[in-house]
Amino acid sequence: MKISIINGSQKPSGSNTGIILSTLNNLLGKDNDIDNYTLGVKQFSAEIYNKIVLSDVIVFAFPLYTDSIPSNMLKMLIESESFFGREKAKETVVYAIINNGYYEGKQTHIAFEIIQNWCDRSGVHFGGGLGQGAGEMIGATQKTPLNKGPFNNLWRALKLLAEKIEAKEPFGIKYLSPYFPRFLWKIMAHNTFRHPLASKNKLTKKDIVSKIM
Amino acid sequence: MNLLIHDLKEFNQDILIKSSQNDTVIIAGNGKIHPCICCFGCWIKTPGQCIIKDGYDNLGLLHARCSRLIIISQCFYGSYSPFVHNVLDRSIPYLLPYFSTKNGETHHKFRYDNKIVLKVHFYGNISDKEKETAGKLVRANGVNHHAQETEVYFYDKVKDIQGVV
Ligand SMILES: Cc1cc2nc3c(=O)[nH]c(=O)nc-3n(C[C@H](O)[C@H](O)[C@H](O)COP(=O)(O)O)c2cc1C
Repeated sequence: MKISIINGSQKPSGSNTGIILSTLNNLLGKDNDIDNYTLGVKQFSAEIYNKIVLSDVIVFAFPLYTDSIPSNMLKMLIESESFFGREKAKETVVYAIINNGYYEGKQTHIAFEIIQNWCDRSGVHFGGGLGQGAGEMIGATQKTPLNKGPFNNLWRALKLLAEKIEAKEPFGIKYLSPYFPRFLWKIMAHNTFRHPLASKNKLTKKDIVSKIM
Repeated sequence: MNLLIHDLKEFNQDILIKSSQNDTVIIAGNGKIHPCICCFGCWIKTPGQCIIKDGYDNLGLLHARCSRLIIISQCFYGSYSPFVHNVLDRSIPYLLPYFSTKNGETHHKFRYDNKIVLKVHFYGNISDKEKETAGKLVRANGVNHHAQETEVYFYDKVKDIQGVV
């Protein structure tokens, strides 16, 4: 099975998408022919598009930006549309893995519709995917293996997704939030993530909420 | 103030701006906008301001000053064009890093108190399914951008868009 996996995070390094994708790569059988691509803030060359369109399966993985797809990934989708020769593309199955900052993975539902609309235009099949909330917590807890900590439900969903990918079968869309209460997640995000980072830059709580006019 | 974000190759001011009030700030593409790299610098380094100095680093402030946010964008798959999307992505300094819960969902707290009316004019060859998606997207953006009202319009051709301000 030829599988192309595209990381559409716009971070220069350390993306949450990357952590999810390295888990997915480990869960996929070694007999697959897997190509991993990192898009970042650049665009792919025609040579890469020509390779991607020959895949049996394409996995688009990206963070939610402004309730939808980050601008550079969107640009890539628009450019790639013309590379999909209808006949071959009919057999390609596209899955999406979307992580978002807010707690509720359900907030990725519009981005899933956009991917489905892209599949309709490109003539490929949409196989579904995962919408994972509390994305920044994936990076913050990465010392704990994904199958042990608050994202063990994500790990189990990825395992099932890997099986569906290998069979080119529909997965449906699954929305996930971590195994961790929302009120604690919020306190943790405010206290252990934002404040210490800001005080490293010598900013007080008052500075963080300042209005510039 | 009105904030008008557009991706038009040719901007005909006389046709698009009918209001006699001279208080519209226009954001257009210059081919040099950098994508947001999710560094959170606008929250924890220079609060309220983007650290990428490419001429699009003051979008948080412009959002804070506006009462009407008007967008003209080609529609792609029910989303904006990459340029318009990029401008919206680069506008997160308008928000605070802190979270609040609205209607059972997490959203960001607002840095500023202004409330806006969000009007989006989508153009292009748009399917019914894409129109439905675009409507949902604009409403969701409205919740995140402190909009009291959202309106969405669709046009087959750019020339049909008139008097948006
Ligand atoms: C410009 C921008 C817009 C964002 N918009 C949303 C959003 O609408 N909803 C949401 O839940 N998270 C949003 N996020 C948060 C990201 O989805 C989150 O930080 C994600 O985990 C980043 O993933 P990555 O590390 O793979 O890039 C946004 C982040 C940025 C920088």
